[in-house]
Amino acid sequence: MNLSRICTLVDLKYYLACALQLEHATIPPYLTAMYSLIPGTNTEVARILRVVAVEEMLHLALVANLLNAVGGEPNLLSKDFIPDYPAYLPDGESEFQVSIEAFSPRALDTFLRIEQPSRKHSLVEGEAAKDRPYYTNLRALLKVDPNVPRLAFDTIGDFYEAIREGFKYLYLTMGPALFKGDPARQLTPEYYYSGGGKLLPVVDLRSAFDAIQLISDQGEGYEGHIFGHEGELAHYYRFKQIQYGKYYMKEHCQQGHNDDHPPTGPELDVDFNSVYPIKPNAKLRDYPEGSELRAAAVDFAMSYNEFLGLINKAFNGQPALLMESVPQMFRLKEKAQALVRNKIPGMENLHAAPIFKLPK
Amino acid sequence: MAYAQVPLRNVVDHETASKILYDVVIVGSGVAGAIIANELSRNGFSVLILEAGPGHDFTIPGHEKNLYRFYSAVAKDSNAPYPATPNARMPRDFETKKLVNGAPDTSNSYFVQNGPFPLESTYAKVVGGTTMHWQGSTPRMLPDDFMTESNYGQGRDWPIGYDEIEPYYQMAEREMGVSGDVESQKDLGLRFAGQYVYPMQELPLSYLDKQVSEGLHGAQVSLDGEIYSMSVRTIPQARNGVPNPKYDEGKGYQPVGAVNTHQTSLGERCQGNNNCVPICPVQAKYDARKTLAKALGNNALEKNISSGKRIDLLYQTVASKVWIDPATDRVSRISYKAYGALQSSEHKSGEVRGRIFVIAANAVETPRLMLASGLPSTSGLMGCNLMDHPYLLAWGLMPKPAGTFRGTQSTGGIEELRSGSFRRNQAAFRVDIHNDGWGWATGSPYSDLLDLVDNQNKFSKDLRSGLVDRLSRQLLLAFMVELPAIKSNRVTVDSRYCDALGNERPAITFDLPDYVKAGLAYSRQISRTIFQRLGVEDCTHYDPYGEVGFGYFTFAGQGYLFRGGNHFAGTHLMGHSRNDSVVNSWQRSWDHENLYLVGAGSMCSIGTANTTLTLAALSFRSAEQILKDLTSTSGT
Amino acid sequence: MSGHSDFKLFLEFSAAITGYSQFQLQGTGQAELYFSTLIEVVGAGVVSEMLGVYRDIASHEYLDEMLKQHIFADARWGPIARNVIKLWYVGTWYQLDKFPNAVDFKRIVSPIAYTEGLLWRTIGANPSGAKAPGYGSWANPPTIPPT
Repeated sequence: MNLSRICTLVDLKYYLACALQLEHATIPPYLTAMYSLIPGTNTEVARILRVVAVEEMLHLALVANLLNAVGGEPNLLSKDFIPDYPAYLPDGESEFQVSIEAFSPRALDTFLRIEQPSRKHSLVEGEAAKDRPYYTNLRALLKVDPNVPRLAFDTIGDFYEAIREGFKYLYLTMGPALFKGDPARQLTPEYYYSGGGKLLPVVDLRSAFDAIQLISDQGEGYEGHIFGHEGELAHYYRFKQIQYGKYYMKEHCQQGHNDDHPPTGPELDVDFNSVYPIKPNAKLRDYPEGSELRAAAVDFAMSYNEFLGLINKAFNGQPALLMESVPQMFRLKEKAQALVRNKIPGMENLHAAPIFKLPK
Repeated sequence: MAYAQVPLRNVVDHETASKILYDVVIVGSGVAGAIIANELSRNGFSVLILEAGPGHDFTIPGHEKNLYRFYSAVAKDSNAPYPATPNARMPRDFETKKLVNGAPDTSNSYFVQNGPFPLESTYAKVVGGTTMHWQGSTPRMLPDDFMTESNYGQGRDWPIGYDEIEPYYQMAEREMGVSGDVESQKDLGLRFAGQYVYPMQELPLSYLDKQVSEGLHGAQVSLDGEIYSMSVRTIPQARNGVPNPKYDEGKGYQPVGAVNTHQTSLGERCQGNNNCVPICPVQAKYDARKTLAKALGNNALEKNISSGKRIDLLYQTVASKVWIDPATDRVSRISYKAYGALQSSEHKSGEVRGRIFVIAANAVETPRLMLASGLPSTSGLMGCNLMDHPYLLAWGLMPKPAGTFRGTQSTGGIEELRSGSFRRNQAAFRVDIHNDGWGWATGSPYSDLLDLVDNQNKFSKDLRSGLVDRLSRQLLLAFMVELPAIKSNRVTVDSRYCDALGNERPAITFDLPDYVKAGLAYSRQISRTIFQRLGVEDCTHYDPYGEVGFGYFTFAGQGYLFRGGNHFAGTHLMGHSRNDSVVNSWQRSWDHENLYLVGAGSMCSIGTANTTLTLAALSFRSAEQILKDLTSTSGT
Repeated sequence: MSGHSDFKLFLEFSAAITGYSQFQLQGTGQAELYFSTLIEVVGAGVVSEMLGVYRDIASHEYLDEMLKQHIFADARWGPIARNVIKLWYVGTWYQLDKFPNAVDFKRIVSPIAYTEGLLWRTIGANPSGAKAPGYGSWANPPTIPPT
């Protein structure tokens, strides 16, 4: 018996709950980097960040579908759902932290690490996992017995690989009974648009695999390739384009090409100076008591939480509400942009930044 | 959603292209040309497209440049986003002026305006053609509209009827991704095959539409002894909405996203930018580049690679003359003038050859090219029967804020008076409720801001509440009135008036018959009825001396003003023989059997439907015939 | 520009005549551009003088009345102040004809200035072609921000 893998439905639900948290954890950093760009500049960077953020929303919805399919209840409203940035990603990531900060070479570097393609076989199992420095992080999240060695992961892809294995294993033991969730809770394609990939309802093993495949493909590329299964450019390589200041050319990319093959296409304008210098990981206490700035930051955080609340309802039996989240997202952007254009009083040339989580 | 990704390896140079005998040469990269190009190239035939305008906007930065040009433009007219060049001029509505003492306006405007009414309608010259700035409304023509001569003694019948076009309407609706509600369109007498639904669900009515709808509830008018009720229904439109899972017998529909080269933009569901005309920032609105992207993608088809059949696009290449082989009466080649810099008239001339030629340059430019080539056709009707939709605008203030200036430019309309026995005596019309306020009529919201600040001395919070009061209550009704084909309304050329490349400019001769004036006058009457019913403060006024006073006329003692509709049609209309028409029902020239003139110019009537959907349907139909032609002669 | 001694006063003045707070005005990201545009057309001295008039009445209990008397009704300051309002509301500089120079012509001072115009947010809408509200939002009543 292999205790380190997903063995029970409860395990699977925990993992999926964790995946929800993981997918969400990348959204505030991507959004903030996008908000920090001065309009009219870095327009291609803005679009790339936006594509990635929107696809992370897709992943969030796909994970909700996976969880609903097995009779789980997605919960985006638990008090620790939004990380306290800077934070480790909630997949047991231990090597780097993610911040809410302006678009910069450092932020870009972090984004690349987030979307780092799987090196495969980096799953560390059993007792060895216990030695991974931040393993406890994941263990705490999964609320598992601290004495039971489980898994640690180097990349998000590895984490999803474990979930995929879990589905496979449980299906072998449970059969179709695994998918006992109410199909009416599934989010279907008409509610969501994305450049590549569809919001697939999950009703059986095949669609579960497809959903997982899509998440991995869009993130780190299909088996680490530059262009995914459906010919879509993976997030990792989208960010690489910014780093290189050049676009990948599909015609020049072959199967097997990866990180070792720099992009060969036209130039992509990147201007790290045309960015509002926002305070990294700003906290409410950074904004003067009673100021309009502070009120605006509170307003943003509350709106963000309302936004999560709406999605949470969409994930829990009212899928049509997902459509309404889009206008909310647009309003959030307006609010955030007003913040980042205002300086913080008393802080030398530092601009305000959105806060996603209010202090208790 | 699928990326409409354009492969970059489709660049052909003029020298190479001039050495190739293409299966088909197409003039114009608008919706008609794009559809035919895609249909032929995906079936393994080689295609060359000539586009007169610039073509840098397959890329997102290119599209964005257009958007920023629009942001910066003080005059935000329909062509404001697109790069202007004297080598391929676009008509600009602000160029239109009242004729002095009835003399033709031959001055600086692109159109030579012979009058009596100068026509302010426009089109675009850019890759994707006028679909770049169209509004995206896609109503079908009514079955009745195809036989107005037989049914009402007005205009001309088509040689084909609604039921022959219906399957092609479906293809066009798929290609353009139409959102709409079939049931409410059926009420108008439209027939749809089987369990047909539009690819996407109808766009929600705006809050303004709903206020109008509530106010109208149960309203009826009597006309020519018949009772018509008036209600608000959604306008079918080529705009990404919510895919209908019932489409295509339950297979659903995958919307097409933004045209781009590097997956930098998703393309979106309509976000309500309120800017369909002149540019949709997120490309939720269909434009012909989406079809061109597919067409150019056919270069990657295995069969085309192995047969060496390519689809190529040459932009900044103005077709200047169509040559006929006197021995066969077939088109032998087309001359072009290709320019480099937009602001320099320096250019290179050349020729392209094909087995079949398709001119899809729009209902003004197609006859212009033919006439400039000395080809008025046997019937002499080339350029005649110019149609457009004259619009009558009526505007007022709703009793309370109605949230105007939000949403796509029009979501709802009043359509019951699109047909009826009254069409014997007066033109029919369709009403669009405008979500973008009085802009078209008065220059709102800028004009209101200036009035409040300069004349009413408002500032601070008073200004804010003044703006809410003045803008958020605005209601503009646009009455699209039918104009039948009349031979004397026409496009001609005159060698005295040429553009920078020496190509003759189109000259427009345009008048409104009393039949249409009666329809416009009745529209005004209906607008009063609607306003009275809604408690709207009527602010409509028609100023013969104002900036758009050139559209002013009096009818039965009352003054009215019409505006251009940008729906040029009829100038190479189809018919039964070479003596009564320019093309046959397949849009093939009667005179030259390897020449197709496609587009709204082939239409014998336009009823009260925006022309694009119908001309797209006709393009699919022509593509079928061209395929047959190519296949039957493929050995020769 | 933001370090310019009159910039802060320009913001205060702008807030007083537009009916939007300094935070909101800064939130457009256009304050410095408008300030520099103003100086470019009418000259730093004139701007400074006008802002001086404003400073003297700024803390008055009936500020709006004082603005009418000393700014809007003033033959020198009225046209400038009205132009500043228009800049903020639609990002457009309207020709004044009082300061004959090459930069006094009607123009949108930058593409983004257009998109940041206050006019549209005043009525709960978006400038055409920018800041779209999202699919279907138009079906709901407008959210008109309280003044």
